[in-house]
Amino acid sequence: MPVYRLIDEFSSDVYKVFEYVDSIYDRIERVEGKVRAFITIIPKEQVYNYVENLIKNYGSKNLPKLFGVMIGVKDNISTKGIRTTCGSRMLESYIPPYDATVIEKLKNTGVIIHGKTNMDEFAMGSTTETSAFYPTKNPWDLNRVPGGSSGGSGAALAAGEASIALGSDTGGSIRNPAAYTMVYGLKPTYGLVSRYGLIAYASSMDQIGPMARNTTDLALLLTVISGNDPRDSTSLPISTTNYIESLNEQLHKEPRLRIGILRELFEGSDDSVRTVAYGCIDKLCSYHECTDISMPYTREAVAAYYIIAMAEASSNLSRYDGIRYGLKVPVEGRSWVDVYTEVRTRGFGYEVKKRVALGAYVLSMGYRDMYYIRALRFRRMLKENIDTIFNKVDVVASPTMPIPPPKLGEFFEDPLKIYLADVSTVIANLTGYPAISVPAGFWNGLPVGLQLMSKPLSESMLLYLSAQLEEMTKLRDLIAEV
Amino acid sequence: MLILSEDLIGYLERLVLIKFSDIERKRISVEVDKIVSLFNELKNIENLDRYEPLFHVHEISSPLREDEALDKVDEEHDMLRGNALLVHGYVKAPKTMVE
Repeated sequence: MPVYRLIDEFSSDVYKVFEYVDSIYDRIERVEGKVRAFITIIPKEQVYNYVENLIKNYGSKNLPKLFGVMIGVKDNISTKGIRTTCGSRMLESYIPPYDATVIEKLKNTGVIIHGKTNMDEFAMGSTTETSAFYPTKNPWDLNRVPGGSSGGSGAALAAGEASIALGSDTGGSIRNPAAYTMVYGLKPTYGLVSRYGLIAYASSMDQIGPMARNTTDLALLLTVISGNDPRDSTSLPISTTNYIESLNEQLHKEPRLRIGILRELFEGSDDSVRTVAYGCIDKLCSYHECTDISMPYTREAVAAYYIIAMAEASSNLSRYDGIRYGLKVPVEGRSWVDVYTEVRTRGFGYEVKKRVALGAYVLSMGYRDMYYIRALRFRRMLKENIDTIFNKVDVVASPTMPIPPPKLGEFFEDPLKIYLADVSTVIANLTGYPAISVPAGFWNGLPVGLQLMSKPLSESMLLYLSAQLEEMTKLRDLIAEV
Repeated sequence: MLILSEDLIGYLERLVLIKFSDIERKRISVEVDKIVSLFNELKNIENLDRYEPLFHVHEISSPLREDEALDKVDEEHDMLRGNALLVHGYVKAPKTMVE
């Protein structure tokens, strides 16, 4: 049942929440062995106690807005007292002593965090195969990946193991798994959602965002988690928006928007993806004004993204020395360099090691100007180009991913192929603009997503288009038969 | 094209204080070649030098919070307990100076 209906059910009869909790745990018991969406699952008894305490503290008639709703949280978001691993051996036993801001906000609404979802190690990946624990499977086809790096969150939603979920997006890590698991996922404007408590990958692009099985739930979750946070110096100085109200307002007014169809990204996609995505676009264009637009240098955007992300990751991951937290090794009689090297060699997986090394390379003497600074110049050029496009259109549309969900292990031999699959998604991260992935349809049983990107702080517009498409396609609240 | 020589791998290992295993060395030398070729495509874009580097997408400087005096609390040990190795209340760490 969608969250916006669940909360009505619970407000009329608070004890229905226990049936709901049972149903989610029954589902987890039946499918989790096949899907592996979670790294940590909170025991049911603990959840029961939590719910009982909430009822006792608030009273059954005065419960907070999202009381009882069960959420899967990506395992790079700090949750006090609950193990937070980032999908890495480095943090296998790490228990944060504090909650991320988004978690504090969610707890104030009565939400139940019942599990931490699987992810690519330190969010470095697009398939959830680089997790140090195990890969997550796509509930729509267990031989295929659910996308990444928030693959566990996407899979948990698609398998019915959670009602809503949180992910994080640095280069497409919410939108990619949303597209591959037939759910809705939004990367907010950079700075709209606090990064306090998000374990950093590439700080100038990381954003936490909502994932859900329908637009209304997405809007509900975004309303809770967004807003200025003095503990995050990159947080935008804005007040909170009620995205449900603004969505309803837009649906009532039904403005006709100008949609730009990004030619290079459609033409660069697989035939299967292109067919399904165009089918979806046709539905939107039956009401809105659509034009073809062109944006060169889409491939170069991937290059710039990876240079910047790897450089920032190299810096961010230098904190992992096993001293204050993380993997422990013997220190007695050993030098700092020896200990530090052993911790990092044993704690990080291959993809993380590779990206950290390459990040140091592009920042090193003689190469910094050639790669890192050049990538940042490209970033400014890209932003100016996109700004010019947004003078002519309100929204830019493209397939979220250029290929259908790959088979597990398909890209092991050639990682460049999976890097290049980020061609649609990285633009929003490089520029800080918001983007949403909306289910477009199935091709031979495999999910395909459509991405819509718009100007900063226009999430309401994206949610409006998402809701319209949802109504046209009826692709909502889908749960895979696992 | 970057040739990932043993010297360069060794240099990168010292830079980031990570060791690659033999299997990882074989793998990385093939993969990095392709990845850096992708990076080098940025060299083909003309007139990029007329753009200033964009370090941050928003024009915000680091705002400072007001100082807030708190009663002394034993937060540090709560923060560290369970995650760091504490000996008599001190974090155990390796030597930073070697003879």
